[in-house]
Amino acid sequence: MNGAYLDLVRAHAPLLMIVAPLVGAALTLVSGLARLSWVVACIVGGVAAVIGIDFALAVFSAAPPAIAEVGVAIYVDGIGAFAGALMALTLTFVLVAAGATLKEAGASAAPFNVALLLCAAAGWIGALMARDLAAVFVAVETAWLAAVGLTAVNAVQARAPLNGALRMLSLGGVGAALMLLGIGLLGRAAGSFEIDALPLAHISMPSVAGAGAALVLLGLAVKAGVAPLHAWSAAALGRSSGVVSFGVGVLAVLGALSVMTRVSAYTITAPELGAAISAALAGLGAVSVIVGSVQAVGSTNLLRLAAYAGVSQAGCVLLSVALGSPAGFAAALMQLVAFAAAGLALYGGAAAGRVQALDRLDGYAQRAPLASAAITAGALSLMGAPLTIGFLGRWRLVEAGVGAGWWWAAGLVIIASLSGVFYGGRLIERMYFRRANAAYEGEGGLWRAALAPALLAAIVGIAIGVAPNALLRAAAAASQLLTGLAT
Amino acid sequence: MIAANALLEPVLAASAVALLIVGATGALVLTNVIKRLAALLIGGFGALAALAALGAPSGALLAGVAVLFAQTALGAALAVRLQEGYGSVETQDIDAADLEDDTRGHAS
Repeated sequence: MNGAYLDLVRAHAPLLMIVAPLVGAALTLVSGLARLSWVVACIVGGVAAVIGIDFALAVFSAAPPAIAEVGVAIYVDGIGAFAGALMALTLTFVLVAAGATLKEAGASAAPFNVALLLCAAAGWIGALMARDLAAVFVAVETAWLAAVGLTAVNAVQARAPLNGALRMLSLGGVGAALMLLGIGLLGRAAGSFEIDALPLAHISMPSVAGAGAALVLLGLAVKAGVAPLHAWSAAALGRSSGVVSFGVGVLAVLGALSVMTRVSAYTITAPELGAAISAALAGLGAVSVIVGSVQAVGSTNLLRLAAYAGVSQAGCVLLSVALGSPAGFAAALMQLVAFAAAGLALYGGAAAGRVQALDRLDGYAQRAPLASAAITAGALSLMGAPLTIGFLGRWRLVEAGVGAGWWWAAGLVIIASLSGVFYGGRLIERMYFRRANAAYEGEGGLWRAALAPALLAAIVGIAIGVAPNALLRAAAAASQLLTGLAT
Repeated sequence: MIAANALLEPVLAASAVALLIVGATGALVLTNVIKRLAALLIGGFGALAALAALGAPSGALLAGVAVLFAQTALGAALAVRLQEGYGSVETQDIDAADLEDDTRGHAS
């Protein structure tokens, strides 16, 4: 009997991964109480993560599951299943860690915070599972507007996040308009608005289709904070609370990058579009690596540094996708995992002691040794130090790039890693080799334990770097499953 | 009639794209938050008109309208909060206030 229910859940897993966070968001708002809403959100996030991971494992097994036809245009492919599970797992980590920082915006705002986090995650997962380009657009905008709302709601202790939210709304709004136009052009030229039809479509007007695909990717690049379209990231994250750092700096950027990887995978494999999209993504990726690295090196604020390091990492993801090969897509997926782990560790470590300015990190290891360990692990991953997941992701990119004759991509990876050594090393030097100049300002008591996921992410990042086989196999299987599953 | 339609379609699409470009440029360069929101609306209408001219299904148009509505509602609420927080809806004043907050934060 239980087996039948389990099969039913598995058949509806993609839909459940979208619906569960939305139902959870409604429940958290109904609950009204800060801590109760947090508990409800954590349970819902955990359920979505378990469903997502179980589904991804089933998809990558020898006998992929059949997905129930429920009248909703869902299309599951390898990248969607992998990134959807990663999103759901990251959401759980973010929700648990947010428990320690919910007080910052006041108890009355807590249900809104967790509801917006859940809505954002549901949107990104929806975009990863949608078949129709219009559905991808709606899901992306749902997630993005939830992220804007989250940023604005948390402008309590500092007003700067309001400015960040305005920039997010302006740039994201322009990106949305461009994406909508791109969908129209792409659909018109390809004769279909379904994403899975693109690689096989007979494209009558390649230049129109190319312009459409480029506009769609441009709209997504704004949301992923890819340079030079990342004007919102420092403003939104520089003086933000822990919830915003996690929800926007990790969840939103990870979601946008995942959707960008998925959409790129379909457009780049279309023969008429492949070369142009590949060149555009490679150019954008190269600019992002260089600009993100330079800005991270010059940053005097830990949260901005993490945001700019994310811009550089996003560039590496785009370079991987630009290769247009299964090896490139697998490298991109590995780097998405690395980004999530490093982001959680860095922002979690910063949120533990409410550190924003870099000089507040002086002697941090004496005041908060576990948070310092998390920041160190995140910094090492951003450097691409051996035995971390960051190294693994970049190594796969170098391998795939050199295999395709893209030696310059290997050069860019070295630039990203060298700048990572500089700014990551600066963090480690401040935490371990300087005298403390401020008292610990973080959450005390039991709620401090809620930040454990940040440390766990750091440990996971190291553990995967040491024993990467399972993740490498999953990423390889995901990158080869672009034809989707039967419904 | 068919020939007139075939001629009209690119003209409509081009006009819609022009509207989008005007709106997008306004949203990026205007310094007043309310004007910026209005520019976003214009750009959004341009994108919707282009989508209609390109023969997109009605579902996509409805989705676009819903997103545009949500974006405008959120933008209006944000404008109120900006006025409360900064005492201004001019981005130059807002940026200057943030810079001052940053400098003060470093000094303390």
